[in-house]
Amino acid sequence: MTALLELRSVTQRFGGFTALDDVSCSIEAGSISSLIGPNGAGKTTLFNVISGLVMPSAGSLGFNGTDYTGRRPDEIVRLGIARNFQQVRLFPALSVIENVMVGAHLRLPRTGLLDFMGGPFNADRVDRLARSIATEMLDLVEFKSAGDTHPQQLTLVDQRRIEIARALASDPRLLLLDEPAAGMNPSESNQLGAIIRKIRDLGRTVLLVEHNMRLVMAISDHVSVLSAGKVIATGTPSSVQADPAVIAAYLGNV
Amino acid sequence: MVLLQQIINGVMLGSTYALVAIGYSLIFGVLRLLHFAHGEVFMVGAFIALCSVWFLNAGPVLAVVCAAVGCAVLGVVIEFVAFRPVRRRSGGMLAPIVSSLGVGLLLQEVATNIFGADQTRFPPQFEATVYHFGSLFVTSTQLFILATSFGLMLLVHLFISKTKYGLAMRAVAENVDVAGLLGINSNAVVVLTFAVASALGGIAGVLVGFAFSAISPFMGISMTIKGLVVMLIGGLGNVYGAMIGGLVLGIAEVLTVGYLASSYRDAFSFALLILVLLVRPQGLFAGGLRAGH
Amino acid sequence: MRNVLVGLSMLAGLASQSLMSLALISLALISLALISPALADVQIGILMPKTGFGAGFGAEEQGSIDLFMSKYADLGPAGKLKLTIYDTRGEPAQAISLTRKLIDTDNVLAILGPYFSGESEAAFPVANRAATPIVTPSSAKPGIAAANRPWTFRNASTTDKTDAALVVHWLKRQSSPVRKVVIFYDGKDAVSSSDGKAVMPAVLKANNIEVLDSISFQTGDVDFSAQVTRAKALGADGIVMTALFTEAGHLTRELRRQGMQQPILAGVELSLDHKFIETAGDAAAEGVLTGADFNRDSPRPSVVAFIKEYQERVGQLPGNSSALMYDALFLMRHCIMTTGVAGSSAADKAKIRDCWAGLKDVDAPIAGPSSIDENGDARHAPNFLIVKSGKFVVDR
Ligand SMILES: Nc1ncnc2c1ncn2[C@@H]1O[C@H](COP(=O)(O)OP(=O)(O)OP(=O)(O)O)[C@@H](O)[C@H]1O
Ligand SMILES: [Mg+2]
Repeated sequence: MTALLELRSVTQRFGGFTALDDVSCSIEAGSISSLIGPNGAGKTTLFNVISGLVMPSAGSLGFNGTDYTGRRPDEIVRLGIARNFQQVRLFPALSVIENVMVGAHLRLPRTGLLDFMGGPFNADRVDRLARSIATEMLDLVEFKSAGDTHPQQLTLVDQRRIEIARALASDPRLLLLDEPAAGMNPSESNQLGAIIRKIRDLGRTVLLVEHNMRLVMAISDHVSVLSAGKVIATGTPSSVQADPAVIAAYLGNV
Repeated sequence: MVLLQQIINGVMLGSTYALVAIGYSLIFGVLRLLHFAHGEVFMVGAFIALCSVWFLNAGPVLAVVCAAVGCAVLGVVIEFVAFRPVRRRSGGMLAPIVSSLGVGLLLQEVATNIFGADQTRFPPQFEATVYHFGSLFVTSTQLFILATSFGLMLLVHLFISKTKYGLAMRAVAENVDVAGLLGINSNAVVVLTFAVASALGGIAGVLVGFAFSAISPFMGISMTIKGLVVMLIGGLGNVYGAMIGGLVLGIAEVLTVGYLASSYRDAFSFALLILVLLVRPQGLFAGGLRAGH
Repeated sequence: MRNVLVGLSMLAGLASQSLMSLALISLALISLALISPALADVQIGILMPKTGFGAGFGAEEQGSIDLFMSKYADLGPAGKLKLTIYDTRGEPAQAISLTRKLIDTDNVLAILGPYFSGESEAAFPVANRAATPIVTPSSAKPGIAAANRPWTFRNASTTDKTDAALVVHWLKRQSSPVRKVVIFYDGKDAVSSSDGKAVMPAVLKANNIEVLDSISFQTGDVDFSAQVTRAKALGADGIVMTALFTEAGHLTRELRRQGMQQPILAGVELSLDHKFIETAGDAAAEGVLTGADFNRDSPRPSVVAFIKEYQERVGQLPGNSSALMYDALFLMRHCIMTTGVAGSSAADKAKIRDCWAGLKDVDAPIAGPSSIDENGDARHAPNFLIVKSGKFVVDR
């Protein structure tokens, strides 16, 4: 039983406001874990801390046994953590396939400037590799439209799929998904559940933030509940669901 | 025939504008910053090439390579000295403008001290052979310039659209934070951008030196302004816009001089700029470091 | 609060400091006023382009100034000749403010300069209003001194006088007759522009030469392809250019490159600068005819001596601008010595003005007998120079 991700007493303050208050938790390798909690509980903030977008005010972060607190986001991706965004943040000027290719950046072989100057063929080789990775990822998330369209021409649901594909393109060990099912109808979210399982079955660990309880309960191995920056419960889906503190937190806030 | 010759003249001038403006656009595209010392990088490129001819007995190709490498290094130094510190301090638009202007003046001053204020030129063996076709003519220098600048534009296109670094550059240009969260080291991309942009600017300096037999510490000033005009015409930060915009400006200038008068040249360029901005405020091509169509 | 206190005390410190320095300055001023008559030096201001596009001209002038001062700084009983030299960068606005500064702050007796016609046009009215003699050694655009009587002069002949002789000489020496010409002129440089737009066309017309087109460019241009392509289609059999040496060099190079082999006449704006030939290249410059006040090959002993001494001191051959400045300094000193002025009073200035206005056949070292006409302009016969194998040589 090894913890892939380990948060130790993480606190995040914004000015006088404490968004995360002494959060400790660990994510097991190979699991699908979910983080739930009312709006404003600090879930996205926790993702921002894990992915290095913000430096925690206190506490430390461990991944696969190494302390990585304070590293740059791109170094953290190199460690094997990738994410999507609650508010979709695709590159509008890039086509769908190029968006996903950006995610593959770290996996592509080093093309020296001289290789490139030697002729466009070598660059083409890298380009083809990037494209094949991107296509594979788009297939995995069951994206059906053409790859050379631009993201803003697509539905929000498709855009969320592309973001997941883009995160997967870096071949992460841990995938952070922030409300990927938002805006999906039941059949779409069922499909998403299947995709997430498939991702896990490929050997990746998934940490899911989601308001869609049906989805969370259906696929999660573990569920943690965050409320006002504190972890108030953690356990199996059914145990958490029955926890009076959780019910109180939800009722009190919604 | 005269018109055709004038257009050839304009393409020559314009292709060097384009090279300078591509560099400008790359840097603006990636950093949203105006690099006011870019014209001086262009000037330094011409002098590096001159030195390589003097001391290494370089031919045109080696001179271009020396200038490209030297200016790439210079560009990276400028990024570390003039841009990175003020970017960290996030002093808004003004701080990088002021610090790059300062670097530009410094480079001008250094060049004046080393090479003197007078114009110099490449030695006579770089004199062009002239080919006449009826009443039309082209020179070997012009062919070299055309081949080099259009070759470089093609390389820039391949670089931006086909390589992982080009893609990374475009991603950083779109959104630095997201690019970082996808594993791209944005600082490295910025360094690469400065290197590529400055190499192109330096090569443009050599080409202008070849074409017009005039190298001086002050040749960069007007290029800084022309590059800016081209970038505005072509679309802020759009590399393809810079290529087309450079050619458009070069041809427009030559036609103004050829059919009106030289005194209207700058007025006409600005009129063109204003017209483009009125009809298409975003420039001929929409902003952003885009690949292809 | 602490910061405010610190700031206040600093302000107080500044105030007391500036009071102190004010007192010191006024003391210094009073003592200066007391001492200066005793020093009895004569102050002359010089305006020239030490930096910017005209820096090359300024360097030539500086060589002459150094040489002249090493020989003639002593004025006998009047004390010493003192020069205050300012850099105009070739800019009219600078010329204006520096003229004011020389008159108001430096209290000079007279001014030599500025170099360019555009600068002189701007600075002359200032000196004229301030009743201070000003003498440009070089500006050649007609009418500038005439418009600012009686305090302004120049020791250079104007283009209307030189062009007539130059054009006649040029036409005469052609083997096949020249009937139709194209004029290229620098639209930004004052003298080149007036010469190319008005003076040359009038002189050419008087010689029955048709001007097919007048094509302009701007000081600082290096690309002349559009202008030459435009001219090429016109079928001219001669080319006249009024341009500074750099632009004339680029233009000549481009003319020959595009295959225009017609004979070229370059106006006196070229200033006989060797860099014209360097810029154009020996082959392209071959046969270009121009005029200049300075004839380096003159057998006059004073010219030979000047060239030798200049070369020893500066390490380079003197140019046209060196010669003009040397003569201007000579004539200025001549006026100081003959009038016996010893300061910069209004009466002293009037004496210098009258001396310049009345100059008649004074033997200047380079140009020889020098006179000033009723317009305040010098009257020199131009020398005709032609480029032969990369050198200017006297024609005929
Ligand atoms: N950069 C920031 N500066 C200041 N406050 C912030 C910042 N980021 C987040 N917060 C605050 O932290 C709290 C937690 O926000 P967060 O986005 O993490 O909530 P969440 O649990 O993801 O909510 P939701 O379910 O609505 O997405 C909110 O009150 C938010 O306003
Ligand atoms: Mg959130």
